[in-house]
Amino acid sequence: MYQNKHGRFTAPDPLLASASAANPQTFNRYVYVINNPIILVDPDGLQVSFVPSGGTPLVPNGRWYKPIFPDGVQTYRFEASQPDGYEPVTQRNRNGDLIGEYVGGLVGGIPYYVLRFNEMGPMTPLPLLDARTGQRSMARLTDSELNGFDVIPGPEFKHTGAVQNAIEPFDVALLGNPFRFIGSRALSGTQRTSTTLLDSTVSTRSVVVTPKGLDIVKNHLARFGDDAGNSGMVRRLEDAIKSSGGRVTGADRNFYVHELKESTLFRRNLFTSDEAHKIALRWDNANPFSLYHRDVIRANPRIFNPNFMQYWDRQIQR
Amino acid sequence: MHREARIWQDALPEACFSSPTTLKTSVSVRPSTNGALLRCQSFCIEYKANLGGRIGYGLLGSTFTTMASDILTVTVPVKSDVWASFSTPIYRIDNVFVGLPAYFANAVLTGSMDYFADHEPITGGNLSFVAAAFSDVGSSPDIFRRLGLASCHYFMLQVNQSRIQDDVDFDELFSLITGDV
Repeated sequence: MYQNKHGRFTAPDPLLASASAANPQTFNRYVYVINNPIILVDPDGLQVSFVPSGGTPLVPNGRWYKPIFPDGVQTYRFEASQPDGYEPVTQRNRNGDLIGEYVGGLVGGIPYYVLRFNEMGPMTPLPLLDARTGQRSMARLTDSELNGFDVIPGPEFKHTGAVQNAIEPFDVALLGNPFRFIGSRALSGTQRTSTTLLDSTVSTRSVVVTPKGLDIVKNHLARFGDDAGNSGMVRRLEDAIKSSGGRVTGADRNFYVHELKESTLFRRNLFTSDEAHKIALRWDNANPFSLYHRDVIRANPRIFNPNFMQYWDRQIQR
Repeated sequence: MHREARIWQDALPEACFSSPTTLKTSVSVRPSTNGALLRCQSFCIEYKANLGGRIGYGLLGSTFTTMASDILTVTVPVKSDVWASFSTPIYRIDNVFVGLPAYFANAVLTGSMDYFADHEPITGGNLSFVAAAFSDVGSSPDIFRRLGLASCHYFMLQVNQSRIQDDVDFDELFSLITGDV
């Protein structure tokens, strides 16, 4: 029972197990979500849960599920039971190795989180991020600091830690449901990439290019210096705005979406240049050969290797 | 950091290979400086650049042996049949393979010839490209042309006795690769 007049519950929280010595506030049995409703929820009235960015609460005994047939944005959900169209996130690579995870912990009393993943190479920890300021730290979590302190990613899988958007430092002791994210797109071994990449089919998706979006793309590309390939693609997008209201498909669409996404990742200042490129590719499920139009490739044979044209030749043969 | 280079002096990474197929060209040498000594005989440069929709990559290693000759020979191996991975690249977007397909080997030779078209070689000898790594996606003929050009520049700096310097100007070398000249 909650008493509005007093701003307090009139009976103690019945679940004594929800108290944690690591967070003395949890011993106060008369407050809602230990006085931190911004980042915490308590859907069943028994135990607080962390709210990942986007508002999806962590439910007791839940687990993460991913769309079976992702379309565009891959939305991961944390649920107590498996939703229709979703499957548990349990993939490992063919060797059974963990290939990606979000982890967090306390370093010198300051809560940090870190994403590390292993899509195409050794598992690489990113610099720690201060949950309060978003600033990078060169510190690394030790195994003991990591123990039991896995951090939950947001409901939208974009390599953003939930803690990133928290206003207050999160208390890892509240993460009573340790979670470890495991990615699903591992590439292992030394198999040549072209075999699989060249055989994939270009997406038929379309998007409308807007003048504002194109400005973002141009500003983003400017940081890399002059490049005939990029200039050619930008000209195509400009022409599309003039001639077809901006609707583009194929390479034009892929290039535009990729650069917008990469630009967003750069602004967050969380990723290296390589990482942003790789994440943007993966986010859009885009083939790296499909970002440049055939005509642009043909006009610039010195800056594109023959695989690019081969890729488009195979598309036409289909 | 959108552009990154790694350099080996007097050493080569584990990206060396040999091939029965080679491209070769010869350049006449200015007689007066024939026979100059090299301080460093092997050199390798690895380069990566984020270009927006793609990330350019290439690695090229070479050895240079001075000879009392009025000819400088440039040899570029062609290797596109066996694909061993280069395990420690600065490029981690997709797999990197040891070797040099013909379209990249041609570009290396073009870069060498471009360099010697503008800079008369100052000693005879053999310039052999012996190490290379590439990506199926990120590598381009233009990158390997620039790497070939920069390698020639490096060795000529080493033997240029008229130029007094202890260290190579890596900024100058880097600008040759990036094209910011």
